[in-house]
Amino acid sequence: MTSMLSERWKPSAQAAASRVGDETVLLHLVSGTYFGLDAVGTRIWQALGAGQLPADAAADIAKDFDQPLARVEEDALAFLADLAEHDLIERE
Amino acid sequence: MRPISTGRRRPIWSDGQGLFISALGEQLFEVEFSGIGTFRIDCARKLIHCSDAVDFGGSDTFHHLVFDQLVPRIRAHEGAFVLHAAAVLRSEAAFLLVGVSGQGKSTLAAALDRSGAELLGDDAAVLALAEGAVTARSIYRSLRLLPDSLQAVVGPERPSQPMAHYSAKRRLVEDARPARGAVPLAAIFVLAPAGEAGEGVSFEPLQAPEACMNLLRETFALDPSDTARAATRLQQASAVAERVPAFRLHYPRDYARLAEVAAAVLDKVDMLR
Repeated sequence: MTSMLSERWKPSAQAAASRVGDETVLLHLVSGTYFGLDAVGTRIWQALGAGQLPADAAADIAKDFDQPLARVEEDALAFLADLAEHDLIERE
Repeated sequence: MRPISTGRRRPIWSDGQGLFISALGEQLFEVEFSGIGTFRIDCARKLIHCSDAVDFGGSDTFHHLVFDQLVPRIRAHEGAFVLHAAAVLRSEAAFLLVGVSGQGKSTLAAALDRSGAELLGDDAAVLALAEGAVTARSIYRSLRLLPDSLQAVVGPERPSQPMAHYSAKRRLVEDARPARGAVPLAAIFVLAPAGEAGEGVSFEPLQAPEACMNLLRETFALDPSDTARAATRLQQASAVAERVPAFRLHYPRDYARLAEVAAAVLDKVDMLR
C-alpha cells in the first residue's frame, strides 16, 4: 500500500470535481455517488491532477501545516485508498 | 396511440421502486412506471407519448406522472437545474425546503402558505443563475398532502382530489393566484430527518460543500447515466451552494406546533434579506 504514495495517480475519467469555497465536491459520474474533500483533501486532489507524486504532496502539506510527515503520509495513504476504491483515481 | 418510433431499447436507470428509464435513441427515452403505464419521450421533438395499453387509473394519476415525474426530468434534460424541493415566496424572494420524500416538505410549505408566505410549489423547483444571482421557480403551483396533513394544515374546506390512484395523497385544486415567474432565491432549508428533530426550531448553517451535496442528492435527471449532464449538475449545485445561504432545519413534527415553526422560518428568511 505504501507504494501508492510513490506512484503517479490521476483523476479517473468517471470523476468530476467542483471547488466549493476551500473544499471540493467530487461526483462519480456513473454511480452518482458524491464525496466532500476538506482543504487538505483538496490539496492532494489538485496535486494528483497536476501530475505530482502523492509523496511529494504529503511532504508539502506536512511542511505547510507543520505536521509530522509520517502522520500526513498515513492520512494521505488512507485517502488515496479511499479514492481508488471508489474509482475516483486511476494510475497514470 | 402510435409510438413515436421504435428502436433499440437500452435500460439505463431504475429507482428501485418501480420506475424504469430506458434509452431508445440519443434523444428518445422510455419511462416505465411499473404496473401503471409507460411513456415515450422524444426530447428533440418535445413530444410525450403514453402507451394506450395500460390503465392509468384516471386523469389524476396521468396528471401526477406527467407533471410531477416527467416534466421535471425533461426540463433537467434540457439543461435546467431542477431540484426536488418545495418553493415558497416571501417578500418577492423565494426560499426552498429540500428533503427526501416523506420528511414534511409539503406540510411545512402548506403551513407557510397560511402564515403570510406564498406557496410556489411543493415538489420541483427550477433554479437558474443569471448575472451572479440565483433565481427559482416551480414547475407549477403543486400541493399534495396526505389526509392527516390536509386535515390539520389546510382544513376540509379547500377542494382536493386524489393525487394518483395508487397513493393516499391528495392534490389540492389549484387556486386562483396567478402563476409566478422566476424570483431571486434567498435561502435553502434542508429538512433534518424527523428522527433528528429536537424540541425546538433550530437552523444549523451548512457550509457550501455540504449544501452542494444535499442539492446534488435531490436533483432530477431523465438520464442519470449521462455523464456530461451529471458533471453539469455538479457545477450547477456548486454555483447555487456558493451563492445562497443554506441551513439544516430541525423542527418538531407536531401539527400543533406547525404555525410556530412556520413563523420561525419566516423570521429567519426576513433576517436574511
